Amino acid sequence: MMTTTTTTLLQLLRTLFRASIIALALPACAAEGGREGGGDNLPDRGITGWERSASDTTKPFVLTTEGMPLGGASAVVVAGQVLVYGHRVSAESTFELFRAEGDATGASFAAPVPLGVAGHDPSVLRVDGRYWLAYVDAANAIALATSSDGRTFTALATTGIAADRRGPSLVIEGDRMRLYLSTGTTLVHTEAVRSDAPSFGPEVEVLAPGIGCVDPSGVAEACWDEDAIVDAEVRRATTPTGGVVYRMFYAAHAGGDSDIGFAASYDGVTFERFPYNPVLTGTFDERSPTSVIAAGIYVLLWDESRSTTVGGLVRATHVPTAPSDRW
Amino acid sequence: MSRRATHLAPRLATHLATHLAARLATALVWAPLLLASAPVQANPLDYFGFGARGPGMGNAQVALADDFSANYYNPAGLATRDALQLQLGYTYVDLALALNGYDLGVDGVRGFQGGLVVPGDVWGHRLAVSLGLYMPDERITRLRALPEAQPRFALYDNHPQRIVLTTSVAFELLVDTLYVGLGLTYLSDTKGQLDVTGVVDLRDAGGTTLQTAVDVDFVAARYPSAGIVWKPNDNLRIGLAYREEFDLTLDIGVVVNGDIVLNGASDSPTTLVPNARLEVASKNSNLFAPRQLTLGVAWSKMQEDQAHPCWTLTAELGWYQWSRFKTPTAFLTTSLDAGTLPLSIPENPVPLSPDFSDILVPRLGGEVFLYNSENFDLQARAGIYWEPTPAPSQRGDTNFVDGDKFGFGLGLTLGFKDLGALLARPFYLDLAATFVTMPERSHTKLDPADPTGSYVSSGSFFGFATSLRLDFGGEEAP
Repeated sequence: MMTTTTTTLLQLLRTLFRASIIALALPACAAEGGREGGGDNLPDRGITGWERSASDTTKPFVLTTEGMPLGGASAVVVAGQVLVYGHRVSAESTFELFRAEGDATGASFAAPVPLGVAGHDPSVLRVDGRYWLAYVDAANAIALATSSDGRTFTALATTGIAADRRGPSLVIEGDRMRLYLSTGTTLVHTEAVRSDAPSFGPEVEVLAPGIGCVDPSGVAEACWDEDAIVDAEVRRATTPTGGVVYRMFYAAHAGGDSDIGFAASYDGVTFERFPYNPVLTGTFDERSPTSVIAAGIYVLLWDESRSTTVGGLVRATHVPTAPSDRW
Repeated sequence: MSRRATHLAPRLATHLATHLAARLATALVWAPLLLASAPVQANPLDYFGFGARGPGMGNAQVALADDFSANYYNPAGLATRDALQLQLGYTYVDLALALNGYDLGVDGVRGFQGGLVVPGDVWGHRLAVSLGLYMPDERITRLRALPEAQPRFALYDNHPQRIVLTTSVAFELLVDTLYVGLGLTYLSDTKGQLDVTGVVDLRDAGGTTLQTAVDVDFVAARYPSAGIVWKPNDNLRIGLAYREEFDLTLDIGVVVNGDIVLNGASDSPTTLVPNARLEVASKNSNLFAPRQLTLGVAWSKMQEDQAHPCWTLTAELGWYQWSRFKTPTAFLTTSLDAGTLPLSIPENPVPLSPDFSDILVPRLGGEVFLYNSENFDLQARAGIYWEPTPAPSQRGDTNFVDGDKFGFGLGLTLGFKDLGALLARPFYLDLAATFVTMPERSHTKLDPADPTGSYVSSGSFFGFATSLRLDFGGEEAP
């Protein structure tokens, strides 16, 4: 056997060369690779990585009214268009709600149109073709209203909502209405059966300042939102696994500054803070965040003030390669 | 803490970080280049098989492999043939692995494969030695340690990017009945250290002078494999193969020694801390393959002349000890001795355990002799397997993604026996196509504010393999 090996070695090498041409003919037709190994299209929740539409040291407003500071924005996407509801200070120094129609990604808005409703800090939703509005009315009470066209709202009679609440955020799921309210320092939740005269139940604290903060490795750390949690907006989103997650962007105060953070919950009541909070900071105070997905882009809007007469709506975007949470 | 010290602390940290980063970058450039010269046996074969016959039968080969692929499947099979054998081929697998339906762009696997089987005879018993090689044609190795939270398909990340070199020896214990084989593979663990010495000026980078030395060792590690083939008669073959686990680590350290000074560029610098020392060590498991034990049975219906089987069916069950899988996340340890300067570095968290589980992998395969003439042979084969994932659903902070795999293989052997002047010897061309599907799997995070969030993993592979086999001497066999 070994003798055979020796005598055929040269023959083997000669035929090997010929045979390899045949063997390699097939793979030569194969597609070539070249990718860099598994880092493309990672899941993106649209929580961080915000890019401001303009520098925050100038006047970066996508919506403003000279001499009439506006704020308290709540955005909704309808028919591929970003609509913003907010408040502004009228000539009579009272708050009034407005609606402004923007482009597909909220990069620019037409002039705000008053709704004829006195109040501030609106939260707007569109469910089954109907608009729902929660806001702080002229008597500083939380009020609800509904509309079929988003322009003319009819107030709903509500009961059970505590006095002196502010910054409402409304969530509707099926026949349930959830309201998230700020006590001035803490965020609470109350809910009611959806109706024309909802009666809200007892409040439950969902997020308190200065408690329960952990760093990315899970170690307890000082909270960035240690003074007060205000101006929260909660969105009921769907995860890629088909579950429900309640996403919350909120403004919080610490050390005299107001920044924007993120928290989330699976049940709408027990919220966990994002480990990399705050998710948006800047030269000026950021307040009243509202987020939408517009034309496949995560859009975050909030209001900033430069003075008692200059302020407006500021925009940042995050373009995901693989968006995950959707609402 | 004094006011002066309070101001010095961040400056020192900045300087140290700057110099450290530059030296570390140097080390990281050198380390992969050096490591690339060390051939390692690794995972491409675990995932995609070896040769072209195995993939065409769902890699159910522990009782059947008798060509160079037996180096991987069962070295004992090498002694069951008489012919000197040479094979050369190519394998290509395209991976489509996705999270939430978006392809992550995990690198495919493609490269040359081949081997040599040299039979012999000792006291009337067959003896065979063999060499098998898989050589990727894109990169011969890749090392990396991704952040723990970054989603990645943990078993396919950089594991297929390896040279595979296997060597085996097999012996016929009982003539035409019992065969044993042993494979031995030399691997290389990597240990490297970057030594930086000199003077660090707290205020003026121009006053900092550092010298660098790189020292990287490749420590040999040996990993055996072994197998048995028992042929109680012409129809039945039973194979048992064992492969030891191996775990290649990437161990890189940086040591900075020197004085911390002020006015380092002047003729008379002020020494704040003599012989300050910063040690940084990074260690991670860069490549792990589990201990494996596979038992297979094959039954063949022989032709009347007993020359070739009309058909063969085989079944096998493999045990993979994935529970010993170590985290691929780098564990960083740091130590700083800055004398009286009030500096400290917080401890880094210990990487979380991946909590993988042992798995059993059943495989079924069959092949049939379709045509046999003086000039041409044709065989067809097929196989399936189910490989449950060893990875748990990723509900916590880690994102070591994997899923169950259902694999299918189809293959052909074309035998050309008389090509005249083109090829003096018969040759056999093996072709295989494989398809593996990884059904959707949900990973729902316990923390609703998890940065990655919940996701769904899924995937599929499609590949093919070719192998050209030349037999010299001995009986001609398909």
